Amino acid sequence: LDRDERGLARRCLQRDEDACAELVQQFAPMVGTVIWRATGDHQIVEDLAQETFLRVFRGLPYFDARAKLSTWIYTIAHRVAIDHLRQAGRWRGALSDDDAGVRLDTLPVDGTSPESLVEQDEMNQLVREHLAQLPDKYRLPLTYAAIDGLDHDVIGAMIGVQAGSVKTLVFRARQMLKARIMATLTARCRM
Amino acid sequence: LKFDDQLDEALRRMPAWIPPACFAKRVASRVATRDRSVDLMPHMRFWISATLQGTLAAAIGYLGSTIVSWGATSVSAAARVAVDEYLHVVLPWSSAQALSFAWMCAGLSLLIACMSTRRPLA
Repeated sequence: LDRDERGLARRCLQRDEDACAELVQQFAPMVGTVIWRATGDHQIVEDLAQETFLRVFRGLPYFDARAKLSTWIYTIAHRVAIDHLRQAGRWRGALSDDDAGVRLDTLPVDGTSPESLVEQDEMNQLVREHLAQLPDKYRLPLTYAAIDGLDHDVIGAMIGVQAGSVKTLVFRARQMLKARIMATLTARCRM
Repeated sequence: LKFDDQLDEALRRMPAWIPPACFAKRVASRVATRDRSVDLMPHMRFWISATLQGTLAAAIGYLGSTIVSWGATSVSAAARVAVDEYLHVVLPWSSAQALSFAWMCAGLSLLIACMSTRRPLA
């Protein structure tokens, strides 16, 4: 696969329009998904995906052939999404752990609490709502980790941390998300 | 399902983006068009940058030579003034004062020697 990627990159550098289309075809779904997950805005995905590929083709002559093309492209997609969030004033990456607004020590140890009675559809809705409110530092690794085909190494390269740190961030993000959802469900039960 | 499993399931179920049918072709043709427009540029870019660099080099050369010539003139004038000053003022004065200056140096060194040996001798 790596050799295919390199061959494709070489053909793109030779300005082969079919190769460019093939590259876009191959990586567009993942690029779009990364952008969608990062921004949470479906309307903007196509424009940002296009911007990503323009940056990819502009940067292709400088691409280090020893690196993985897919990881490099996903990293660019991540940066494009972050740039968009910054421009829109929605970037919350600089928040500290204290700003997350949850107490992790209040979480139950097992998953058999009354909250488990919630329906899956409702859970999907709750996850979507609360995930959007997490600090970006935790939200992005968790949302990326939920995408098929993105492992911790790739996510680490995208967000600029070690794979081990990604694991920690994903764990903490899950805990925060869980705490927030449980707080909502508990408040709902009391009403 | 347990709560954790439901959470994982909800995360997995988040939608993935499916590009529109013409997306790849559109981006590729945009890149190709952009490349072709850039293709016409290299000669023009070369001449523009060569002209700018040449002008810059000429300006720097002119400025540098002006500064050097002005500096050399100033230094030579200063040197001439300094030599005149030395020959006509410092040298005559020092010749006249040489003996007293020598006595002063001798006294000073004697004082320093006394001060530095006083403590070890004591």
